[in-house]
Amino acid sequence: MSGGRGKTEEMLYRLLPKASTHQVESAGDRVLRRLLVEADQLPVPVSPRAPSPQNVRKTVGFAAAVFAASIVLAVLLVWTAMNHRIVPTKPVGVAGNAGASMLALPDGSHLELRAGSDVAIESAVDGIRLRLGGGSIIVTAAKQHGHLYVQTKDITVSVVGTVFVVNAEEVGSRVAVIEGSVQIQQGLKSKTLRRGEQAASDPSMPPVSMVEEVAWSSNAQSHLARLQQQVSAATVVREAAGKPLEFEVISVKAELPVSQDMTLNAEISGFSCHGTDGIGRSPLGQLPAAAGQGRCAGRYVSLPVLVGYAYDVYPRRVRGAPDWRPAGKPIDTGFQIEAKAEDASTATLADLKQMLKAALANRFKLEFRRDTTECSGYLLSVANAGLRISEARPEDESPVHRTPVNGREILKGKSSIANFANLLTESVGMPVADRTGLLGIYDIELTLNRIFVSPLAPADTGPRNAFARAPAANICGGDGPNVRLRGAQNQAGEIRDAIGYDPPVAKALEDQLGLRLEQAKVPVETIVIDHAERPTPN
Amino acid sequence: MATLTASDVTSKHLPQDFENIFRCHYQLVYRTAFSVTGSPEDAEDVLQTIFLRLLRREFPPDLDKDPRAYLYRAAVNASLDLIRSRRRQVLIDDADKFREVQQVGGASDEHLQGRLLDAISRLKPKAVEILFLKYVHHHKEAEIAKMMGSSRGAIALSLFRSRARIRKLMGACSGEKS
Repeated sequence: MSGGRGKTEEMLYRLLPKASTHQVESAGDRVLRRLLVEADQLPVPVSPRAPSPQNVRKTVGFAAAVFAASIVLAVLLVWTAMNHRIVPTKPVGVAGNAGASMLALPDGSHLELRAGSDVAIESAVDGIRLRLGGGSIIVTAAKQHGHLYVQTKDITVSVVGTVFVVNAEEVGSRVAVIEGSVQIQQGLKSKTLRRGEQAASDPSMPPVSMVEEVAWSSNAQSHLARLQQQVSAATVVREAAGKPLEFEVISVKAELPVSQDMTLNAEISGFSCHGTDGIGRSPLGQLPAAAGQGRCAGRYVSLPVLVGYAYDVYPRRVRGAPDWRPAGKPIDTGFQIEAKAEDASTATLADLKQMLKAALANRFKLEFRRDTTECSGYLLSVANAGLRISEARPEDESPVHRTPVNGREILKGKSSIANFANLLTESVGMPVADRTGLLGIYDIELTLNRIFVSPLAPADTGPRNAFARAPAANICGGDGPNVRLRGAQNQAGEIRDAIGYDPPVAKALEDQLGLRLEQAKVPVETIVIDHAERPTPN
Repeated sequence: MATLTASDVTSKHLPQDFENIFRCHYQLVYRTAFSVTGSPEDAEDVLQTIFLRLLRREFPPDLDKDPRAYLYRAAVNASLDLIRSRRRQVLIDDADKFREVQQVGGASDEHLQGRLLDAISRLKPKAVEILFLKYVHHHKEAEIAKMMGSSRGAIALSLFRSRARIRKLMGACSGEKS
């Protein structure tokens, strides 16, 4: 019998059809598109909990009909209480052309509506949803257990405990954050927006300063004061004056690599900024020392690293950097950078990035464009056994850092899964796209055990070095553990030895975090440098 | 100002809770349906049918308790329904051709897979759920027991009976003894 069982088991394992990741992803995309079309044809608002007319029709007998009618009546009453469509007609309390109405939501959140705005309030599974048909609203979301969603025709904003403005216009939607941070979902793409930042769903929408954005509000002054406290005095004053944020002082010096060994250079190079909300490091380089408060600093920093950090693009995906290598040197010139914000005690990481962008434009005469390309990479999704990490409060967000400890790498922080996926690019050496659909901030801790593997072996020769990447770095790859650590390139460009992980990254992710890593084609954002000049002397 | 890149999908929206459920579970539903039906087209149909029903509010409150378990069960049931309805259609409309196909098939993997799926589709839905959790989603018996709210012994027994029935059904088709 055991033979029969063994054969049957072997047959079941071998013959049961298994869908490839590509099949799953493409089918998911197609079905989602059809569902979107279907959703537009359905009567709104919708809630998965509301009884359908079909279900009511199925009820048999008079008593059942009476019972069903009473249920429907009760639901309608609850619905009436919970779901409103509000179109303010009498603006109150604001000087000038604009007007505003205030509304308190049951969860303690407050809503300020610009005159003529169209907002519907609905219940969601885990909170409240506001549908903004047109106009502007300022939401002061209360700290609560659930979520508050604001949905326009093309984006969804989800928040917990924050203040932000949403504008819904004909061409698209614009979101600006006054306090806290929000997650924006547009189609299959999501983005985190922090205080002082703005985003538009359509590139043709003109940028609007925060001062203009809240000018219609009866509480405009208090919003700006809050922004001033939270972000920094400089942000608002300069925005009002239409000037970009700039470093008070910046020093940029060219420095030649001390060695042609990439290992050594990786350990003494790096770039970081230190804002009031934490320390941000460029993914390449391992210089342990961080910049001081309100400063950015770096050693042996290349232009792609600076551009990548300023514009949130992985440095490998910054293309077209000019060749500034000295004659006969295989490795590019780096820069030693020291920069300080005007008010170091209040500058946030977002402020410092704005200042770095200004420095790149002024000192490097940087001109660039954004592009998207498709690469072989990995998709990060929730594992079959479910997620094993807990959600953290948005205000506790801190970037995930990679710390090498005794042959292990510990990735730890409180971050969105999208940001964590970006960081994973370094571990797997290929782009990682977030397909979990998770929007919150999560408490992440991943421990990877390093092992030495032969770089000459194919990347997928076995479980011990599965996901060790091909040595040649390109825009699709990260530096990867093999190049970044002991896998140093010699002058002939050969990799001497490399590092993999045991268990592989995919297994560690599934076991420790409940996340699954699968190979797939993924879109990656790149920056193409059209023009850059050697920085002017200090 | 940061600008969101142009989305593939414009001017339309889904309820956020629905969209979250779709993103979290569509892979499970598709993979399950693909394994049961053996056809990408059928699997896509099943995926669409299930989430369309959810969108039209035809799902009971079980979904809130454990969406994953509910959607997995729905995927197995919808896939089995599809296969069984197709089998009925074949028997009525095209019985002779169906018999020919059965007789022509040899011992190739493709043919064997067809017979295996046919045999599986004749099992009870719950047995199919357990079978696929074990052989497609690679869960251990103890994990399956926890998911199904059953004992490990009951899961082992179900798997034993399913394998025996599959052997019998496949043997009967080809005239072999189990």
